[in-house]
Amino acid sequence: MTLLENQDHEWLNSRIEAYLDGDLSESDRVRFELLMEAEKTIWEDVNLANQIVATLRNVRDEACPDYVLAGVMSHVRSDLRRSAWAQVQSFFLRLNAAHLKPAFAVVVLFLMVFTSTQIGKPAKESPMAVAQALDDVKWTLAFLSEAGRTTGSTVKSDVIEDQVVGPMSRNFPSKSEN
Amino acid sequence: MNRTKKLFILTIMGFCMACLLPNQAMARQCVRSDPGYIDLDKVGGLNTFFNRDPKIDVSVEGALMKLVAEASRTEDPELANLLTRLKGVYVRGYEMSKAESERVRSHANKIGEALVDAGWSSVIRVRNDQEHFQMFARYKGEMVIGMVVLSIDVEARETTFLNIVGNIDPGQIGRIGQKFNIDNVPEFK
Repeated sequence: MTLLENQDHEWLNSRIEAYLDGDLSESDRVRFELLMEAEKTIWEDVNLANQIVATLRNVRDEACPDYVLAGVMSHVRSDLRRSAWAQVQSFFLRLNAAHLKPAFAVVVLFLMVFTSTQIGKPAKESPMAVAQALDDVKWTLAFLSEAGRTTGSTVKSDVIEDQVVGPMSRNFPSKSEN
Repeated sequence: MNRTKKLFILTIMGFCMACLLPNQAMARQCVRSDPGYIDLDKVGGLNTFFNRDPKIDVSVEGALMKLVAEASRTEDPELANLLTRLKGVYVRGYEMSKAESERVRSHANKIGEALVDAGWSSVIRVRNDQEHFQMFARYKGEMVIGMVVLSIDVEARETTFLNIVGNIDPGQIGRIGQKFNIDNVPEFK
């Protein structure tokens, strides 16, 4: 069937691609061509490979249709989600270990308490600003109290004296006037 | 439901609660969305009306109000108790000339009407040659949650607009306010 030994066959087969690509060293190339001349089937193999390479080089790059791309991306995202969920599940499965549960509960509780105390915490104000604000509030309360007293006096003198006490005095003269 | 899912749901609930708690705390500080609050500058357009900055400008609210309450706790526990129930105190005071008084009275009347239209109740109204005093309250049930005072003192040539937000006991304010003297606060002399 062949004039070449199996060893040479293997050597040739493993170097066909390199030969076509021009990647063989000079000595290997010379040896390859000598063996190829001696064995017609190898020459046919090389010729076929050469034609395939040439054909592939002539094939135009086809753009991937949008619907195919969308489908592929959808599958990729779905795979990623499944993978992320699997990681979460695996995390919680690991936490399922009895000795980790209390630790996990403590961490969650700590996070809850820490977040609630930190975020709701009043902003820090300088003592001077607080003292000033306290004075402002005291003044406001004093103003309101004063206004209430003044208003009460006004109501008493303007309304009660004029509208009630005055008419009553006129309608019910004192004994001395009698 | 398997144990992993249970644990996962419990965790999510925990984090939701953790997020909810601070939101409530922040909501408490959000005085300006309280129905007892009015924006004195916006409702009265005071700065535009007077065309000058206020002589008295007080805005104590939220976190600062809490700090003020705590600061007064040792010295005056009753005042601290009152302040912990207040959410905000706002005052704008302007000097005015006697010639301006009528125009200011008319503007105060308009502000009063706007407040009544907005659901505030007129509690006290005193008008004479020397003074114009109006007090409005906002109720939630039987509780006073906001108070507005419009005061024009023609003699002193001063006009004061005031808004207090929170759970207000007018009697307590009057009683505690008596302890303080307006003239004792230097910047308002």
